[in-house]
Amino acid sequence: MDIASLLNCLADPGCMAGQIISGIIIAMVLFLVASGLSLILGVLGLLNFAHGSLYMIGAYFTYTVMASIGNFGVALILAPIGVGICGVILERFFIKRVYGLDALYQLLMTYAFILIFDDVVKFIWGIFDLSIRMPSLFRRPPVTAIGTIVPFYYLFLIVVGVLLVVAIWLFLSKTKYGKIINAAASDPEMLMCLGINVPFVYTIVFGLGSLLAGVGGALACPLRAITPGMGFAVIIESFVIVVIGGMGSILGTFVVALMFGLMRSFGILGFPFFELAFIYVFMAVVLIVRPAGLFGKVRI
Amino acid sequence: MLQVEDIHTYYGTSYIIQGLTLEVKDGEVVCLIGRNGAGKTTTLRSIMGLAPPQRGLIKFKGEEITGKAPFSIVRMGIGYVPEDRRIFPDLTARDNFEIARRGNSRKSSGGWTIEKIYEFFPKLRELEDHKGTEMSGGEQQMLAIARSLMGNPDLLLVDEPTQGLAPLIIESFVELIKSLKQEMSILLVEQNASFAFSVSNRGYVIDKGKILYHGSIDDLRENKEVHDRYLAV
Ligand SMILES: Nc1ncnc2c1ncn2[C@@H]1O[C@H](COP(=O)(O)OP(=O)(O)O)[C@@H](O)[C@H]1O
Ligand SMILES: [Mg+2]
Repeated sequence: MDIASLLNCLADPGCMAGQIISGIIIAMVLFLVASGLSLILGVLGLLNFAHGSLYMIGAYFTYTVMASIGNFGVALILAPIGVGICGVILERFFIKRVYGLDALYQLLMTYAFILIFDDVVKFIWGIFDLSIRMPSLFRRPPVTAIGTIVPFYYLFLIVVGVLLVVAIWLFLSKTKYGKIINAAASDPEMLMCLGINVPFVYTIVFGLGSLLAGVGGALACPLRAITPGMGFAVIIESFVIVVIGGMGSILGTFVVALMFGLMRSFGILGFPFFELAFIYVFMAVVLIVRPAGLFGKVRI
Repeated sequence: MLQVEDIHTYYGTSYIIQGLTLEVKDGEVVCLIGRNGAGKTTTLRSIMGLAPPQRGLIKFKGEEITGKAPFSIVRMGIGYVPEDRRIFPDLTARDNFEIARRGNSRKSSGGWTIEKIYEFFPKLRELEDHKGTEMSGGEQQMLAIARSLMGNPDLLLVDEPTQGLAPLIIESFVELIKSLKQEMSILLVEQNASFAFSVSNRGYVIDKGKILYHGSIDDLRENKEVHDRYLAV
């Protein structure tokens, strides 16, 4: 343990601002992946372990678009759409067969897809780590504020993340389609009896959830190595966030993603190598006190 | 309008509907009465495609609907008001109407709009921003009926609308069913026979998944067994 360096940092505004920013950056990418996972879990009741793989595919698609067209803006649009389409195909042909079945079948099928996607990625893009150069748009001097330097891309990521939180929230709570999705989460059979094609709604929800994972993967590209298996850490962390936040709550997912990011960025100073233990202890406590999660509704 | 011919429906291995035949003609209100567990709800679920019969035939406007998905059956013009009302907890009354609104290709005239719903159920206009969970039983029942009207049904299946409601509210539902009758045919499932008889043209009595009797309301009222079982208090 290294409590001293944690305390030193807390006493120094520059260090503190730096850690907060890096915590927020961790949170933004995780939020995007976790919000898709939460949507799929909340509406379809599906434990989708392959969700991290969709994040990974988003990163590889981004790599390919960058390698061929070289425009990050285009990659940011094409890669998530491509992942959304992969999600739709996955749901139509495979996932829809395990709805309502025992969680074990869902685990078996979605876990199988982790392995399949990892191998497909190795087959297409090779086994070595890939990376993209920081897009030229963001290759400009970092912003200096409160004694810390903030890379320009970080600012972009924060703005995009916040805009997406608002957009997802507006979509789910204000539009007709959002309300249909909400109704599908609580009583799909009744919704069908109002003439709504619920299997189609399920496909769309799975596609949207996948698209969000794809956005996460695309945005993470300039920051991280693109590698087979990169989805695995992300899926575990996203599950933790969804469980703590309460499934189906976008706001809960966002707040908990922020808490998660900050716990990691500060925890790594004070308790290097053990920072994740904190988060799991926190999750255990939340589950004991509020089994529906911090923001989840208790449904009977 | 609706023909149900010798249907047999199972839940898993339980044999529930055992060769049931009934018919609803254009413009009729037909009631289906029977004791708890007789198979009334299962009959409606069979028609809706929620519990598809393993044998038998269901025709709506002359077209076979057995085996169709519930949402296609709704789109052909059948509305369903389930027995426990099934109100979506997070949605307001208005949200319910918005998601239930269907394109109105079948009917050339009129059609249900939110405005028309509010003229029909003035109470729901006041409650439009309330969530279903904040409403009384009678208001929830009104909402459940109103929301199924948004699909512009030609036939409405209603499962025990008076269950758990106060006598005064039940009385107002008599008027409601009578005015709905001007616009559509209705198959009304009830345990409350006096309510059912006061709004229906014909009736069927179901027991253990089979039709025991059917006939005009007057015939049913005069039938001693029906009287003793369902009307005597
Ligand atoms: N989901 C189910 N699984 C197995 N049996 C059921 C199910 N639902 C109803 N039943 C049985 O089917 C029979 C008819 O039920 P139902 O149609 O609900 O009767 P009613 O609506 O006339 O009260 C009852 O004996 C009931 O126990
Ligand atoms: Mg019943």
